[in-house]
Amino acid sequence: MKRDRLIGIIVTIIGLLIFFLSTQIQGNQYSTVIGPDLFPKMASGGMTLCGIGLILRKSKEEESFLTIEGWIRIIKILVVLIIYPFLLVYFGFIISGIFLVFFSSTLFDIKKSASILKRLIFAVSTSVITFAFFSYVLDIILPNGKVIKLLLG
Amino acid sequence: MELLIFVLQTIFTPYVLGLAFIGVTIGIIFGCVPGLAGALAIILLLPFTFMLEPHISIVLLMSIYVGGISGGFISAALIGIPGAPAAIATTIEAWPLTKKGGAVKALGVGVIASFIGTFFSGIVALFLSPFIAKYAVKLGPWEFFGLCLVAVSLVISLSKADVLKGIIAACLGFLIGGIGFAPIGGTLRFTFGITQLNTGLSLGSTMMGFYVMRQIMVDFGKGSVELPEVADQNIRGFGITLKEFTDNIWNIIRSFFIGLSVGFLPGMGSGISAFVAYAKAKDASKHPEEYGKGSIEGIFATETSNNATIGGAMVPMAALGIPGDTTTAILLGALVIQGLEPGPLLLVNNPRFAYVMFGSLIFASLLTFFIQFFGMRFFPKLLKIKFMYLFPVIMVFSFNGAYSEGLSTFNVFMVVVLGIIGLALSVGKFPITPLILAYILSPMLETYLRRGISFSEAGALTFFTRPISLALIVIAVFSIVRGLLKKPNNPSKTVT
Repeated sequence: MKRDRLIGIIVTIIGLLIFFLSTQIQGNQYSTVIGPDLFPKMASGGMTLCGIGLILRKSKEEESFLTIEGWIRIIKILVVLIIYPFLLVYFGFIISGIFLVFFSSTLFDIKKSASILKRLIFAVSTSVITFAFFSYVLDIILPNGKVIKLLLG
Repeated sequence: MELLIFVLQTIFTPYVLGLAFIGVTIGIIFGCVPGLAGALAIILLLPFTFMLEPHISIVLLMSIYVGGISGGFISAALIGIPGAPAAIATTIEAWPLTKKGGAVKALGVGVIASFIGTFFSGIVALFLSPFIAKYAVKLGPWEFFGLCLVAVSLVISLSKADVLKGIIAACLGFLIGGIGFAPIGGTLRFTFGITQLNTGLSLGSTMMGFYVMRQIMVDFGKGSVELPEVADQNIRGFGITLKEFTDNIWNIIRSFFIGLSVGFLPGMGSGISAFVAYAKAKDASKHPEEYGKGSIEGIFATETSNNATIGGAMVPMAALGIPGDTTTAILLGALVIQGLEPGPLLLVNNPRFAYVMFGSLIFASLLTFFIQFFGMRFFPKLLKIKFMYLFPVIMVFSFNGAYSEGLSTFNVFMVVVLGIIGLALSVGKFPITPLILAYILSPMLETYLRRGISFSEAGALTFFTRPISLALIVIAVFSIVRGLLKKPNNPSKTVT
């Protein structure tokens, strides 16, 4: 199956699903003559129609978006990105920041030009300086982390 | 004359000049760092302004505002990530130009266009404020709905690779923008019991997810981990020839008036005006085939327009007490805190303050121009930083930027989720820009649609019986239909 046709099917299914969900939206007593369901219905309806348009139109076979190596690289960075928010919640910004900067710079260093120590120093300094900048200059307290809070009482 | 002397006496003192310099510099820095924004800088410095005289505090605030809008194009040009929503349209041309080795040219055009837009819109605001305000207030939800629709449709029509996918992306943007409390009545939609979604997805997480994370993943996946080469040894002038500038005079004038007009309309913003100006510039261009590949016409259009919106937005803010965009809403709050009454009485009761506000806008544009002109020698050095060092820092700032919007770790999770959705859209070759614009405009578009139908006995028919509203709807439909009938230029190309 050609890629656009497959995308059309996916878009149509998602559009129909959202349209169905939109029919479940109930207006309240303050609702105007047209309810809060109209706009989502219009948008999901438009999405469904365009999805059908993608299925029906002629499309050429396209080259693949990425090579297998490219997908492996994306999966690696995705793993880092997915772990980061959890670390942020439980261990706070400094530890999660070190994790994010260290592993992402390691992955981005395709030529392996920087040593582990160099990357670690970069990660620690970036995380600490950013924490200090947000805390003391911007007055925005970054998360301390549930585990750290527990440990510190 | 007495007012003019007062404005000059207020601004041209060493203390106020120093404050303006600090304000513009902070604004530019916040504007150009993804995750920060000029509005955040204003919020941060707001407590400091309480200690100042109102007419001095407004100089500082206006300086940050102007610097913040102007600074957004720097990161758009150098790393392909807009520093602020106002610079999204600029990225479409500035980033390809940088990739071709034209970073200095992209910056030079941005500096000139930003200055022209802000400086002259400030002058217009100064002289025409009382007259224009009277007209702007006569427009109703029908016209505002039409304008939002035109902005989205023009952006969709720019999805040269595939207009159909542009429409799908815009619909998705409307739906994402519709998450949470509905604009009228407050009904909850698509929250699935997640209370953090009640107020909708934050702009920060949406921008960071769809732009920063998506682009980093795509670039890394494609192995593009080298930043473009830039020759910064002998930077002279603005990096463009006089002919390149004079060739764009009409483009600049047209974009200026588009930006100014959009600014007059309360609730619109510099992001919208930039897209409208970009679409118009492409339509009128003798070389439309160069668009998307680093056309300086496109950069002139977007940067002139988004900066002209600043002066335009000052008009409803000063004369009607209605904010033109998020930042002017914060500025409005600052005026109230200072004990001033924004609205028609401001010009009557506090003309000195009002004219210092306009004067500081004009002065801040000059200051921004000089700071950016000299900064042009240093900005490209950003590209000398290795990808492995630069992008982790951008990721950290992006996550923190999203977090600081409501101090919520939920926003950080959403950055990742939206980044993954953005990646899926890139795989399907969906353009991201219509999605972002539709997301931003979604609450306004829905509010105006529902108000438009409710406010009139004729219901939805009123959209077609009011001449301006009808004209705008016709333009919107025409641009979509024309885009659909055109053969795609290059279906395999991913567009932003």
